Amino acid sequence: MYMLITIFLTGFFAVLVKLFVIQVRDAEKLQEMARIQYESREIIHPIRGLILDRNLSILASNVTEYTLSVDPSVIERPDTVAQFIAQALGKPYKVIAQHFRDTTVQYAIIEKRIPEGIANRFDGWSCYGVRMRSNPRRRYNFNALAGPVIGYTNVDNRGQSGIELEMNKELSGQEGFIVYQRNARGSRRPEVDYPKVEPVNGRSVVLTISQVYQSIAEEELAHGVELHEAESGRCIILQPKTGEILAMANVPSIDPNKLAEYSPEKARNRVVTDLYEPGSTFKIVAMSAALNEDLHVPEDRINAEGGKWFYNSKLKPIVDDHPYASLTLRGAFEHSSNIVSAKLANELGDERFFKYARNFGFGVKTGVELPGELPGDLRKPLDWDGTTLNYLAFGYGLAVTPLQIACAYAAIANDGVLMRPFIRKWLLDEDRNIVDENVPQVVRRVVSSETSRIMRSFMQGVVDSGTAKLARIDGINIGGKTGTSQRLVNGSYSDKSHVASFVGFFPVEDPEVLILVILDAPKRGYYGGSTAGPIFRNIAMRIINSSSNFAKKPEPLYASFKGSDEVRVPNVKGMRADIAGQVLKAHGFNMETVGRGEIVADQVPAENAMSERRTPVTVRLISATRSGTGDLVRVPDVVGMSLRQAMNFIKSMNLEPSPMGSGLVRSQTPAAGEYVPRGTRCTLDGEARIVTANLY
Amino acid sequence: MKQRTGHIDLYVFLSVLALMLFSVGVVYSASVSISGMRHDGDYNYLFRNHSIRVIMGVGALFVGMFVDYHLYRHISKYLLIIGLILLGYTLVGGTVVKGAQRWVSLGPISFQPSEFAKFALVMHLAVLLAAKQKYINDFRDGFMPLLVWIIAVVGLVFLQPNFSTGSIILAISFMVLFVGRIRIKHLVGVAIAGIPVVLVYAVSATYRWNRIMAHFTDAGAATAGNYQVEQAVIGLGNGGLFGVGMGMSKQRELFLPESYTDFIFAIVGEEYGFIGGVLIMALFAIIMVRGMKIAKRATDDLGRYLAVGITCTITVYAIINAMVTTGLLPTTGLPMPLLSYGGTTIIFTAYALGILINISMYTRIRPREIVHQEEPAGPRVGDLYQ
Repeated sequence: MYMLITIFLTGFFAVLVKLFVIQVRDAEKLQEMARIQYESREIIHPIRGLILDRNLSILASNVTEYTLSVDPSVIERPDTVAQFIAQALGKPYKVIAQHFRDTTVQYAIIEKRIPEGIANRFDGWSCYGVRMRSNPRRRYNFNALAGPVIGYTNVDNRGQSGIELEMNKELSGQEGFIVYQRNARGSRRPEVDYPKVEPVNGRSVVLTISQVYQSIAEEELAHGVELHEAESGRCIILQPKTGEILAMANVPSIDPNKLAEYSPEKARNRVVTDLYEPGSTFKIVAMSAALNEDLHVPEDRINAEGGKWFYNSKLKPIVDDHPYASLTLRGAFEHSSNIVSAKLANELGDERFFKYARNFGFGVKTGVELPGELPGDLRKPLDWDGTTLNYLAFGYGLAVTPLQIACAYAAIANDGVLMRPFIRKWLLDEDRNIVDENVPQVVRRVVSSETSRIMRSFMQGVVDSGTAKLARIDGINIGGKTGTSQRLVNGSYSDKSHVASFVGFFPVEDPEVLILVILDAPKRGYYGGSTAGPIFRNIAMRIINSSSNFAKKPEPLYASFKGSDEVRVPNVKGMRADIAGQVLKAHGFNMETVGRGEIVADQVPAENAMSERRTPVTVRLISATRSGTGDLVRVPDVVGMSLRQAMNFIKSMNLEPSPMGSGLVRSQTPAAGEYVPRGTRCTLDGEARIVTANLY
Repeated sequence: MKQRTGHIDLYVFLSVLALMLFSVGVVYSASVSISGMRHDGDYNYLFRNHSIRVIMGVGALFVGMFVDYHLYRHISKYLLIIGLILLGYTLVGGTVVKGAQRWVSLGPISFQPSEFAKFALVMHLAVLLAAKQKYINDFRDGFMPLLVWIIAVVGLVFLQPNFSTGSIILAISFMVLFVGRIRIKHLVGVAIAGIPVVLVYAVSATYRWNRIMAHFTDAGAATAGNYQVEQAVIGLGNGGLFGVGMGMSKQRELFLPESYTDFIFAIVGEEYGFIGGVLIMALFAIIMVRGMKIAKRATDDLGRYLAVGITCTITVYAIINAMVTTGLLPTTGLPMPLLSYGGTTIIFTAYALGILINISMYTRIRPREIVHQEEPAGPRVGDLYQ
């Protein structure tokens, strides 16, 4: 009997040991196995972050679309269900009913990409076996605007190119999930005990791009490409002091909303991905290096060999298009002498020339946050032969990206300091707090402040009296350099196919904006000065007009308007055309319109400029749909207007004015430039405030 | 010598009631999903059934407690004959469940005759052993008659075919014989002679062989043979130290189809954790130890052998079921006594435990009060577990 007791107790003990192993030692592992068995997770997609321009205009936003699917094998009364769905979708009953016919399948998609409005008709209606699933989709509010820069996403809402690709991780956020409990047969019910893990929505990316500058650049570039029958065009607008990229235009381009209509190579942001031989714009290296190394002073005369220099009797001579017997350094730069440039490069020698080229940023990536950037091709002196340096001096025998040229010139504009270009300004969280900021970064000082000052004056000479006279704008000093290079066609330089470019900045005294325009293979005219120069001028002109910065300081354009009867031009940008007419009339101006549409995009003269009464103010109209930023409205600046005017203006923007006091508007909330939902109340504080009359 | 103290063994009594009460709760939780699925959305169908059986079981416990066990001396033979007839009938007219004929219907209730025959055999063995003590060492007169009854019952159970129940009845019988002073030589001899027969039987059916092999090969592979055990272990592990809480089992959601019957212990472990598992094992250990003590103190041989037989039956079932659930033994299809949803089994088991308690009322000495004065020197049962 004791033996039995012992055996039994051993049995109990064995069970306890095993229980301990299972329930205590291995518990974690088994709990995980159990969880996998009975939990089923449904992913909740986070909202993809927005892409905004520097003024918080929404460039890329999200729309929700729905997919309606059915499980015909479980639907009890398919005809009634089909009837309802047909009615809701506005489709013939027959088309819908055919999806229900095959009761052996468990999943049939009835309709994809159902917009929210139609999907709402299914609210409150549910039927076992019918499933409405939401899919987020990207919408690009300005269509083709900055298409290759912004990029696009695939069906899974994952970035495929441009900023969408480069910043995909930040934009995506983190998925959340709901846990369902599942039984061994696979049927599910929500598990109340498990908290739903909310998704972390993506960060919004604020670009340094200005939607205004970008559209100006794209319009003018497209116009120029058309005018000169060029194959394609590229343009960058940079802020030289910071390296911020204000615009990056490609022609042709894509509309990421309608990808299917475009061939994929048009999606490339060729400003950073495609190389070219810079030609004369590269002369900046030899010239600034020669000055910086104190080899010459600007007025030194160099023998220009009468336009043909046989630096080696066995080889082809270096030729200048415009022959001179001799040129000063300044003259050589203004007239873009290849011979003088080559001579200066020879004086510098291989190593020094290479060092300066490298220091200007050639042959290395700029590090801009854009996918597919190329470093370009600048060989090391070891690989050079006897002719390499001579040709490098005027921009042949190397390959650069447009962004590298723009940055090199920006260094001259920025007192000799090269800045790292950047396109992402901020990362914002859901509540629009800044979580990450890109600050301007100095790469290195390339040339001395003195050298850069001299170079700027050379460049001003190029525009004022050199090869780029067509880029001149009265009243503002512009510096720049033209470039015209023959393109390699089938391995030899073609005199039929050129790359024409112009890079310039203004005002020379304190450069704020740098613009590079490149035309690939223009058929009408090929000199950079005559093709890219005017495009630069058009862009610069509109930038100057659209911004009070430039108008205020030198007030260049409208100096001629100065007279006895001049008044400040009101800001009518963003107003409806009829309201703008009234506002201008109230100020004593006549309105002239260009373009078609309902909304004023631009005005000349710009706001706050002084102009004579009864002169015309030209406004460019665009259609409202193009300027729409979804449900958000940008609060206009109404400070200084009369209350009545301000109220009209506010109303015209679909906002609700709420005036206080009387007289002119002294302050406004929300502040001008903010984006607020339509119908938001805007409080306008008049100068003379009568508190008792304040009914709000 | 025969004296009735009138004191029932409270340890056994309370342990049995606790297990039956616990059974109602756990079976409810374990059966709710399966009941809903198998009985057309009636989630309480199995629970209701079980509750009725438990109430009947409590009744049976009390009847067993108050029927003088000496009565069985006169009826055990007939009970066993009824058991054998039922077993025989099962082979011809029983219900086939999962390939074996184990159930038989008697009017409104259906039950497994093997459960009844098991207790009838244990009872009759005890009666015979008590009667034959004087010539128990004699093989032909002492051992043979007992062996014939055993072979008859076990053989019929094997033929159902129900390998595990048959083997366990055999094992329990040998335990009773061992305590009943059958010569070890005889027991071992018969066992050696029987092993080849049992082995041939075991290998003769493929499912049985697969089940055994599955246990000894990769325990992680989800073959049909060990799927249940794997799910049971997952359930136990999911419970961890303190369990997922009453009614919170996940494994009952059809992952463990026999959650409310043979694998009820897995649900206990999942909902009440290691603590719950230990508690259940402790209750059975109390019944075992007290049962043995009752046997030791029984006033006559019949009481002693009956108590041993009943105690062994309950304990062996409990240990084997727990070992199967925890993966220590291959799947057998044995229920956990008192705890599993088991139809009539719970009634027979409760009645048998009632008999055990009845035996406890006839003791030579009263427990606790005079143990120290009257126990002779030498090893005492009390030292072992008090």
